[in-house]
Amino acid sequence: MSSTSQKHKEFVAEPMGEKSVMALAGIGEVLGKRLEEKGFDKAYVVLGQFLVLKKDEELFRDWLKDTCGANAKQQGDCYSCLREWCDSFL
Amino acid sequence: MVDLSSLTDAQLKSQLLHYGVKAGPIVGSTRALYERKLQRLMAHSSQFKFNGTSDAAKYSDSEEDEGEEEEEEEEDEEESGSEQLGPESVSRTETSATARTVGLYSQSKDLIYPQCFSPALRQGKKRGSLESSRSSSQSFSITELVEEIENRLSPQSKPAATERCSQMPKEKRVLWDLQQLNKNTMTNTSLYLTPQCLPHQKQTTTIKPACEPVTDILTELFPDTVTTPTGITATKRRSIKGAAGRPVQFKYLETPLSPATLERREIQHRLVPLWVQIVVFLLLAALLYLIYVSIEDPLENPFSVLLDSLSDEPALAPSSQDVSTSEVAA
Repeated sequence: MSSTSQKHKEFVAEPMGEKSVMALAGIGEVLGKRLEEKGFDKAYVVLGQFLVLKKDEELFRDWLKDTCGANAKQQGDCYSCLREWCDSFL
Repeated sequence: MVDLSSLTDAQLKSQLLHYGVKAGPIVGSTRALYERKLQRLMAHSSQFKFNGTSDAAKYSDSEEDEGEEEEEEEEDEEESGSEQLGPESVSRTETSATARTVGLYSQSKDLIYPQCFSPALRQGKKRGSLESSRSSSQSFSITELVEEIENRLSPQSKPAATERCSQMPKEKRVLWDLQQLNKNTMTNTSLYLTPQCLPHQKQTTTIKPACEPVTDILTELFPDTVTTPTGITATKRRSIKGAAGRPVQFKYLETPLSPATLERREIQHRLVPLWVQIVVFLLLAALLYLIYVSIEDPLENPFSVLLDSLSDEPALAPSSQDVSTSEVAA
């Protein structure tokens, strides 16, 4: 993750409001669908899981892999995106 | 291993804390993750436990587990997996080298010794292999070995005899030792193991010494840990609890001279005696009284002067007024 993606920047720039889960960096169409199936339809639901895991990277990555089968890069993108969002808005 | 799914949330949390992980809330969506984490930690810690001197079979077993886990975790990054395996296999060869030298004993006895045993074990094994043809029925125990060394060093043992022994050729020495000691204890030749003997020992390292399981568990658990001149201390590694016991003993010795009393005594040493204090107090009191008395007289003077000047002033003022009125009148 040498440079942050456009999606990451957009997400981190503002409060997430009612953004869909697919607005999260690292979560695309496929992973977004899977997450929605499991009930994680909004970005803030994922944020809730992220927070209940105490922002622990290892656990969150683990969870993301379990829930939607994200690969290492996607896990990392999503994690850093949420963490930065928390840093600026929490 | 404990079935993690049967633990309550609180138990799971305390277990995680035991491994130094401060778990967050354990709820439906997080419990599985924490269970997995605990499992991993357990596997990790047990692997560390066996890492030192366990046999190669156990080690490779745990390594396989690790490999699988790695695969699970890093599905997309195979390169990192191979990287991870690299150092592990190196360490495996390292430990398996020691395991080869030590393992014969630990395998056959089904006992795991902590790392500090290994040098003694190695020597013991070499010696054991030397004697295996002669004394295959003898059982081997580290504590007995240590006791043996102690016995030999105690003043009761004849120094002349040990000297004689050390001068004897090796084969005879062993036999002599066997005669000297009771039948349950193995002889200790580690004192006399010199580099000259090593080639001979290396030839026989492949011979697996016959040994019986150690029966004397109590002496095994509580060996008298007196340091030996060989520098090999065959002490069972104690748990933290056991180690914590030692300072308590130390404290009991110290109770009559607890730090507080010591401090008090030191302070008492520094304090001046009571009569000196009284004398000083009286002197000060006398001095203050003298000062007061001497000040009393001169106090009157300035005030009297002041009072005099005050009483003079009203006398002066009317005279000046008189002057001015007289001038006006003029």
